[in-house]
Amino acid sequence: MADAINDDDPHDTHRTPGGAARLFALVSWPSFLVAAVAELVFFSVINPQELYLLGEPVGFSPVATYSIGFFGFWAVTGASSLMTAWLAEKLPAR
Amino acid sequence: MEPRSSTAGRPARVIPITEVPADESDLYAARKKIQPRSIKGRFNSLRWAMVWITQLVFYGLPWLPWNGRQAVLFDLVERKFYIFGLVLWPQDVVYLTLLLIISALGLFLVTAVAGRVWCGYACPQSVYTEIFMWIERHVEGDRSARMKLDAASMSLSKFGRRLAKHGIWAALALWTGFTFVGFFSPIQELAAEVGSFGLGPWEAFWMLFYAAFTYLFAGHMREQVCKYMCPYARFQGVMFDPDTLIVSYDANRGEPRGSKKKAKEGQPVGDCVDCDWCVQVCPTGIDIRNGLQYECIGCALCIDACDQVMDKVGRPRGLIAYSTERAQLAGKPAHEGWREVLAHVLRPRVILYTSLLLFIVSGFAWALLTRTPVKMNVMRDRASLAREVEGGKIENVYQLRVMNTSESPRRFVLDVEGLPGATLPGLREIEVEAAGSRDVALRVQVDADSLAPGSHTVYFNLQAVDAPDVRVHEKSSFLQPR
Repeated sequence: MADAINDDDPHDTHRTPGGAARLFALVSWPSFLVAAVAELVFFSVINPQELYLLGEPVGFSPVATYSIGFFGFWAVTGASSLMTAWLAEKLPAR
Repeated sequence: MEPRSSTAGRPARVIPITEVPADESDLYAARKKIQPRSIKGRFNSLRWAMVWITQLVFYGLPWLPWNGRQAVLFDLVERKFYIFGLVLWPQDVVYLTLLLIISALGLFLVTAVAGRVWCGYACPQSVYTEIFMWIERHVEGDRSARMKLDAASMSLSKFGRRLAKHGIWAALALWTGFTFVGFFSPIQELAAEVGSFGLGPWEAFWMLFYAAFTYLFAGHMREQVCKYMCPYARFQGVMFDPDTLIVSYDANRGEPRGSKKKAKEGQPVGDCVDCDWCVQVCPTGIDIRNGLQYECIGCALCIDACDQVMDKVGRPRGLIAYSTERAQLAGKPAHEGWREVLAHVLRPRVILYTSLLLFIVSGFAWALLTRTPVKMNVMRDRASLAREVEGGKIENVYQLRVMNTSESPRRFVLDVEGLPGATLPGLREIEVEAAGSRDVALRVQVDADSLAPGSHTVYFNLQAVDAPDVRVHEKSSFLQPR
């Protein structure tokens, strides 16, 4: 992915994300996809109204529970992706 | 990502370090904005036809009525999915799974036969990028005008054009976000809520969230989504074989490329006039003449561009064309007749994908057609175990949930099986509204001396009054105390 850009070459129009965009592409996005799958599987078998939060039935509206659930999944998958990306970058060449 | 080099197993070396001034632009150095030239032609028309078809479905479907309700609604609050005449409940998750498998297999099949047609013509990323680029072209002008605008310093007119572009993009993105939420929450009510500024916080949040993603992906990231973020773009290679259709440049015919000037000077030149149009029209900014690249989304706009140029210079079309690896190696056009097309299409991989797909689709259709439009959950009431009631009888209480998945109200009768002399006092017919459910507390009584102590299996039969084949059979247990 480390293509050098040659500004004089009209054929070379590659642009590679760097910095924050790179983090977005490698961490937020894959974890978003996996969180969406997790959300789908989890809530297709579990009714949000039958969940308990710290011993009390969840009082949120179903849409709120779905949303919080999604961001919970995304936080977990995102943490995992972030760690993988970081470790992969630090991994010595074979 | 380039892994760092390792020093493992090698003797330590001293590497002289020269300090290099930090370059702030490094983070963005690898960015070069792609300003594709717009092109007319067969494949561009096909792409726009697909834009219209997919977006009429997406923007229009939530507004379509059906039996007095929204035809397609994934009602998350009620946990019911309405798809025209079909009402799916959480218990029907198997249909959703099958549908996902069918979609995946369909994508495999299409990819094996025709390469990345999904990417080029139907993927939302391509479709929205096309729409956003259309807006950009109409506000900021064609490719050269846009490049000039990019290079120009900020002025009132540049600011105005930018503002108009981003404004229209944002409006379209918001409409897209609104439509998306309208698939999950009744869109008529949603529209009324938006109109009166009474939108719920979560609906508003998801609308803005989806709008922001649309704006970011279609307006700014564009080909980078396909190149760096799309998993399908990376693994579609395994579904390709030498007979898969790919957009390719005929190097035998085109090379050595060169202008007419070169030819006049007596140098040997092929058919490629090196006009650069194929590169300029490419939405992912690649040069198709370098061969098959994973960045190529198969949109075929370079074919349209090259065909036009070939027409102009009076050479036959097809220097860039849909071809296959096998045909290219043999140095001939991909398909010379329908017999060849058939021979290309009928190959083991395609036959395998097709038969798998047919098998699962027929299973899916069979399961849907033979589906009983009623479901029943039976739970023994845990609060009250068995108890003795008047007349020397033992009574157990059950909680029943009867779900009518058909689109008309229905009446049902219930009876028990497996317990001698069991009665259901106080039970009348159970009426359940269309696509609704009803909870019923049910008492079952048995003569105390007719059963041995312990747990006994009991069956509940629910039968629709109007249709003899609409019935369910559920098992539970009856407790006889010692």
